[in-house]
Amino acid sequence: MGSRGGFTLIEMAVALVLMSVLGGLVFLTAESTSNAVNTGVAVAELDGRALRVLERVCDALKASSAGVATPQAETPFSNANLDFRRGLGADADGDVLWGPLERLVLEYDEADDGLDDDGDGLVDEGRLVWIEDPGGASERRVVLCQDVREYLAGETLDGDDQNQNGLLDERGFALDFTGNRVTVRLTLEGRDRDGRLLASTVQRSVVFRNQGN
Amino acid sequence: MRAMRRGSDGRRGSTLIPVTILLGTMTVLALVFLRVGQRVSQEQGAGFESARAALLAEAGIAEAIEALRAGQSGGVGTPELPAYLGGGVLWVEATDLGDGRTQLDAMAMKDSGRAALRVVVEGEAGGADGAGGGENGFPTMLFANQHLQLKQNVLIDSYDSSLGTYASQAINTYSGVAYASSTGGASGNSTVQLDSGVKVFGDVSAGPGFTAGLGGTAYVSGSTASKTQKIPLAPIPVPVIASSGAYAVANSATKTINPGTYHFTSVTQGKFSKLKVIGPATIVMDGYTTGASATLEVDCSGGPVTIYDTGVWSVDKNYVVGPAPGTAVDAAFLISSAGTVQFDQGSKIQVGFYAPNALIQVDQGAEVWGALVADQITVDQGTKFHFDENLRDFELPWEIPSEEAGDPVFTAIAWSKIEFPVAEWRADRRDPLSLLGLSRSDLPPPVKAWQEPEGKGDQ
Repeated sequence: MGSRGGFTLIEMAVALVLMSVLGGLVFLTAESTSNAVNTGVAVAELDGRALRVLERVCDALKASSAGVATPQAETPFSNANLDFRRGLGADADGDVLWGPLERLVLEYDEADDGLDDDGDGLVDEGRLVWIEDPGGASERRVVLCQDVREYLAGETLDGDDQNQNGLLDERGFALDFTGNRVTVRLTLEGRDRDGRLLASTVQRSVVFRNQGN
Repeated sequence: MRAMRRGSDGRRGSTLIPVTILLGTMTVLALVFLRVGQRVSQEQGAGFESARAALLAEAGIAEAIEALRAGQSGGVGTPELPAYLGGGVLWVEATDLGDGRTQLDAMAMKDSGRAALRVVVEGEAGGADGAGGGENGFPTMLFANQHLQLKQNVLIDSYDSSLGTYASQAINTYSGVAYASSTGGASGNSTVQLDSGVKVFGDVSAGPGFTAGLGGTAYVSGSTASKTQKIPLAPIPVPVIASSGAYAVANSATKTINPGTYHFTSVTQGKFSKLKVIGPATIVMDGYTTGASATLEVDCSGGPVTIYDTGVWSVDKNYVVGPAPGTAVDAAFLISSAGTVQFDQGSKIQVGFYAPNALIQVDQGAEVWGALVADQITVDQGTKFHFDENLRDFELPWEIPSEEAGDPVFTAIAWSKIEFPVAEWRADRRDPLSLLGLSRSDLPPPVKAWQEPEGKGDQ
């Protein structure tokens, strides 16, 4: 039979400690990497959503005119709602032919009470709605996006311009008019899988391509 | 032992089944994720490509407005042969709506993106403001409708015959070359090429969409920017005057034509002859022929001298046409016939020439003080040209459109997105070059794809 080889108790203990340390390091690294990836994916998804909505809004406003876009708040105030029409061409007299009335409106998605009434982790968030022929027989409502922050990122309702963009207490969807140009700002918010609050703010200026009313 | 081995043999291969199921499930999941990822990527890509196509369509509208400003129809390319720009293709269809309004439908395809815009613009082509101050006279020393090449060591400068002789004004020097003023130049509706050693004291401007090329040591004192508008060479309205038959000046003889209007079936000057014309005079000749060393002297002190040549131009070497001593030049030949107007060696030309259908050929050793406008101009190397600023006021039949920058001639009055009109290409989202079966080199850039107005040929 001969003598049987084996590990001593001390050898086993050292090996176990080393393996535990290594295992812990691997776990922590994997955990933090996973968190970072999850957050990055969530932010990218939020950015993409915000940019797509912004593109769609600007594309529509481009075909309108400052003369048919109402109301137009004067700086430092801004609009969260807008009625407008899009140009369809010109008539025999050279006047612009206008399409039906359209409306962009930021609605609350839950009660405006400072609480997360619907339990989605967001407080007083809104939704941006596009209404074609509002109030008319062929009215059609399209929700362009949900999870619109109540106020633009960095802003609260206090009469101050905290985010220093020249506007006071602008909503999460804000339209700012300057002559024949409108600047569209939008903040979407959401939470990643670990419940961290995320926000994405996008803005773009667009010149009205038509004139007159 | 045997029993155990039998039991072990019975289980052999049993792990293959769960492993296969597991691998299959993972493969399906991986394919599903891959497909979802592809769809998301395609969606985002399609959005970008549509935006790029929309930008191309906007570029098409801008190009069409430039074309309108240049007197073209506003159309750019066709669906069969669109213009190539920025990796995509575009074409613009122009519809005249009357009352100075034009509807421009710009279509563009970029990768899988498709876009179409409709813009109605209002306005008219520029007025008759001359580039040099509101006149339709000679604007520069050389103006050619077609490609203009200045061969080696050609010199162009300017002077004003109303201020005295050229010699008295050529008091400036540049790099050892004497010159008078810097308002001479070369211009055209097409390309302008300056060979090495050419010196132009003035501007050189190619036609819209073309560029001026400067070779080697060529020098231009002024601008080399291209014109924004083509200048069509208008046909010559020849006055109807009763014919007086042929007119001839014998060898070494001198004759004078007094102020008035004349129509000769031909004018012939013998060798060393001299013909004096006293203005104001209008002469229509159905052909002009001279022997060597003939001279035509124009006295414009009493009024301009305008000579219409409707037929042959055959002038021998050492020909001289110029003003009476001490007088300014206010005279021009208006040549309506096609063919070649040749200035042989030793010729000295001191009047303007407007020949919208002809080729003006200036041989080595000839020298021109005046201005030349022609369908084509060829100049030999070393030839000297001195633009006479006094000819800017000479009344020519063409209209020079305004070149004033920052003055929008056409204004967009309506802008809208329209549905991409070709249903087949809306559905087939292949790359446009694959779709059309063309290569990039087959397609012109937008500026070379301008469509002319209906019924208007290339001047």
